[in-house]
Amino acid sequence: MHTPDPSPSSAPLTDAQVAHIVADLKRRGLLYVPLLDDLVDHVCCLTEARLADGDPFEDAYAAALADFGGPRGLRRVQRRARSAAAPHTTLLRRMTYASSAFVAVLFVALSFNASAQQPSVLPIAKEHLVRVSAEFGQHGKTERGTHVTHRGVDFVVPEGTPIYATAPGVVELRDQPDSYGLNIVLTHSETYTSRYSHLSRFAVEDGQAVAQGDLIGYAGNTGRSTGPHLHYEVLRDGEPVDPSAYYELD
Amino acid sequence: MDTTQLFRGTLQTVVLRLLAERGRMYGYELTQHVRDRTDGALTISEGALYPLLHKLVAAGLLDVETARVNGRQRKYYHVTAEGRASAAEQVRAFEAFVETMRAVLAPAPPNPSAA
Repeated sequence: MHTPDPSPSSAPLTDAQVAHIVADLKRRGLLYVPLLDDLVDHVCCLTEARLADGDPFEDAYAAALADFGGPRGLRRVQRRARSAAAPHTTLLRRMTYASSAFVAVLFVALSFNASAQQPSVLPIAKEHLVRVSAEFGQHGKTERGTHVTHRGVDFVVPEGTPIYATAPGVVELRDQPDSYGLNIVLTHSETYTSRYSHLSRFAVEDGQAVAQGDLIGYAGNTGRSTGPHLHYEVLRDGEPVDPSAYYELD
Repeated sequence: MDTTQLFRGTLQTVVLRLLAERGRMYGYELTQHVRDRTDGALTISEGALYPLLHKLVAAGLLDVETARVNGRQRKYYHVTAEGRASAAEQVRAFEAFVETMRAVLAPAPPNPSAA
């Protein structure tokens, strides 16, 4: 039994139109590579089907997006595809898709003992580390001359270095241009949170649950920063503690 | 009657069975094929399809080949040996389920003692 290839090849998109669709989907946050090829092809097929009916490109493309529930629907597919490919964290992730950070935080707080929930690995791959430029507790001065104590550890790394969750947790995305820049706060338990600052880009969504070692963002130089580095903090009951007690670096 | 709920649990069986039967298909093709074959009674939502395909790949039941078509990458999915066995097993389980439902829902034979 054979049905003809349903791709309406009578009206294939031009390379420029395909490039437009790829760029537009990426701009809308569809950056999960394993899914992007699927989505691009599917949206292109839907667009071609409407072009074949005589719709102009822009209308055809808009209708194709609408078939997925718009950009929001596409991102939902992306979240589901991500979690589907990571079966070991399915339960934790499923909580997130209720898109309720609160429920997820509660879940994290209730269902794990504290020791499993504290950071225990480096937030970067060791080979990316150029050097540690500032230890915890080191004294410094701000531009205004105020004495400050360093609340974390600064890892000098190349721009774009992948940043990983140091323990399972729930994501909070922040943008603080005058201080931490683009930064991620992970809530691991009632006791522990960790913070990853001066990022160039996020790889997770607000409210998402992540496993230890999951990619969460990319290093950068946003906020109060004078060169690409990761400022990494571990907080215990809201107070910064020495992160170097929570990873092995020899 | 809205039958979405009835079909929901069967998506994995449908996808594995179709791929086992037809060799290799890409996502859009799967949705169109199911729609045409069932005269629109069963539609696979895009939102459910790709997470399922990725889950089945992660589980080793499907494999992917990529080819360049009309200026973009097209991902063709096909069953692995394990996927083929799983498809057969799921179809058997579903047929048994249908038999059971039929036995329960069919009009009961006349009860002789009630006569």
